[in-house]
Amino acid sequence: MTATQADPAVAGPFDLLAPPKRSLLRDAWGEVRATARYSHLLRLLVSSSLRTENSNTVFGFFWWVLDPLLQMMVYVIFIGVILGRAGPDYPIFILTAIISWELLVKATQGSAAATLRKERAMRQVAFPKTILPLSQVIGAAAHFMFAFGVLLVVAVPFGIYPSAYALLVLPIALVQVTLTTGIALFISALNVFFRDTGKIITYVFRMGFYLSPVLYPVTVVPDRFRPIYDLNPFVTLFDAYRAIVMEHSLPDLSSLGIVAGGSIVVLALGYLFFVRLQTSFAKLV
Amino acid sequence: MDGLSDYAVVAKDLGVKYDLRLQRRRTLRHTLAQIAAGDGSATLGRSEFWALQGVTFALRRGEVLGVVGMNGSGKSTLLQVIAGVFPPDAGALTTFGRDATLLTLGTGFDPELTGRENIYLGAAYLGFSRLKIESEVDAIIEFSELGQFIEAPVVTYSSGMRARLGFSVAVHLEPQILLLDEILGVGDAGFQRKSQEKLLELTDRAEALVLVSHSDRLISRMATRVLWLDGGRVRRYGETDEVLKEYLERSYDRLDQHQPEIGRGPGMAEPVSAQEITITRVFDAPRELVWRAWTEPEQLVAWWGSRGWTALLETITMDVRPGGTFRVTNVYKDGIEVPQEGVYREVAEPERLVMEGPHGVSAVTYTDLGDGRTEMVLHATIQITDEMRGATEAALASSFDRLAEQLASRLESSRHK
Repeated sequence: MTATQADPAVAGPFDLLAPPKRSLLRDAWGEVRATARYSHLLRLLVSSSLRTENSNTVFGFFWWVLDPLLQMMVYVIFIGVILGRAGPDYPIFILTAIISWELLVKATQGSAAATLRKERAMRQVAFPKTILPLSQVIGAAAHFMFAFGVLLVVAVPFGIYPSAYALLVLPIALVQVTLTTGIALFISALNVFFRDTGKIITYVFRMGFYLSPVLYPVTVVPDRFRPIYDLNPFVTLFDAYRAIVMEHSLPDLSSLGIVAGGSIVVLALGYLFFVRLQTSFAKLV
Repeated sequence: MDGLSDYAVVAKDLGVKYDLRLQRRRTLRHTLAQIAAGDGSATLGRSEFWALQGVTFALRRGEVLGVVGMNGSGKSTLLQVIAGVFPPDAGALTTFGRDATLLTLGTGFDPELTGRENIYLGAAYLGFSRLKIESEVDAIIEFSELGQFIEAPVVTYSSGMRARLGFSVAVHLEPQILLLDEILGVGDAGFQRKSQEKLLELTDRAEALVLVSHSDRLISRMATRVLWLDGGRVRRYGETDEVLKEYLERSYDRLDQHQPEIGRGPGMAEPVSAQEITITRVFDAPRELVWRAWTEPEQLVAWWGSRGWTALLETITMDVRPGGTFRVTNVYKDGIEVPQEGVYREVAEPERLVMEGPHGVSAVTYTDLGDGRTEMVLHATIQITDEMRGATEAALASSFDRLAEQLASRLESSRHK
């Protein structure tokens, strides 16, 4: 006698129970809806991470200002003073790119750490796990917007005054956040399974930093490399930020449009990748 | 015909699969080595593992489902899938839109935040709205007895304070379907009594309760139905008394599969992996005395189990010979009971004792150091999660501390004679 068949205790509305139809797109849509339901958690995670990250330091929130400025000074001393090749507005030129690059690095590394740190919660509670990387990206974006304000102020002594073009930072940053979210989702899901991921991206980012026009203008790149070099979306993004801050002009809209389209694709792929793997997060030994 | 609204949880041919190729703490080196070896799954034997298979049951509103089975039988996985931590890989499961929540302590807490902030955070992880949290926050704080410490960061709390806060959050946000992995007891005696009462109140109010426990007394007291899991499949499902009776009989019959375990904790994640634990102790006592402490019930009760646990003399069966039975029940304060069972594999008085159980084998060797002291080496190969390893080692260490004290006091009293 098999217990489940003959036992009268197992009477129930089983006929009405059909296995749910599941597909990756359906799961992804479910994740989006759950995220909306858990927006309260998302808000709490963002605000608590912004509040706690510098809470044990003497300077506290001043680090929001100090971080980009100190980075800028290191490179200004290194390249401007030691190598002696920098124009008068070089500090602003690199600071514009540094804060944008920091958004990418902070968001991605924070996301990779978040999925590891919240392992226990992921095993015990049913919440939309994409919230973990999303909260990191939002936190990093808030940092960026703050740093952008600092940038505009710091630029004044260099004779660069803010203009209405600076408002275009919102659409440009939106493109970058879209791209960054896709990357952060991908990296943070992978990091659950391969802890090396977190280590590897540190070096990938360091290499990317020098391969992107942070410390030098695009014009120093030999023309024959440009077709490949320009595939880096940060070539376009840095260019756009510099246009609105330093040149008081519109960014190159056609290349920004292409980067925006590509970023949406990266976001979609990163989201699907994360959703595909996340059911296994809680099943790891 | 029953209306659908009479049911709280219905599962039909439920299956949950683990992909053994995806493992945490797997490094790139490990994976590359496997690929180099030709087949990623070869080193693991198989690439997937069904933690649950063909599980069918229907739980009505107002019922309490007790889930029994040995470690690794899929009990925790069942709670996870009902809680919605992951979807089933086969079959179907529904709670008819009700929320089902596993009662855990301090899930999602951020130690840098204050106790009050963590109440909001922990509750948000459980999916509760801000309004619901705000209406409960004062009651939660009061229940936790943390007073002004509620405004201090949780990192400054003692472990007891943390547990109290975690418990208070968990029991004030009443889920419609409550999932319990062992009855939790936290804090000092006073708080424990209070928390047990609150928990019982909560189980009364929930529309349905699913309770996993190793204590057959607790199951028989609370459950209206029992689901017996064996290797991820339903062995038996039905009325509490019938299923429990058969389960207990079967457990005692199949002692080969049982093994002593000292101080298990709730919430084990499955599946498990083989862990090697070696503990060496030198006791200031002759070997014969150490041997007797391990093999005589009256001696064993004085130290068996980590501090806080009590082994009950009347529950002990010790048939110290190869193939003989070992059985003892440990009680924590007056709440949790953990029966432990095993079988002696090797008995070489007074040098070596080997016991086997469902988790693996523990071998203990005793060496006479010649100066009145005895070196004891415990070598265990057991199937537990990495997470449980630390707890198991700590429990063993604590138990051996008690053994050392017991031996010292025995020597003391014999000197006085």
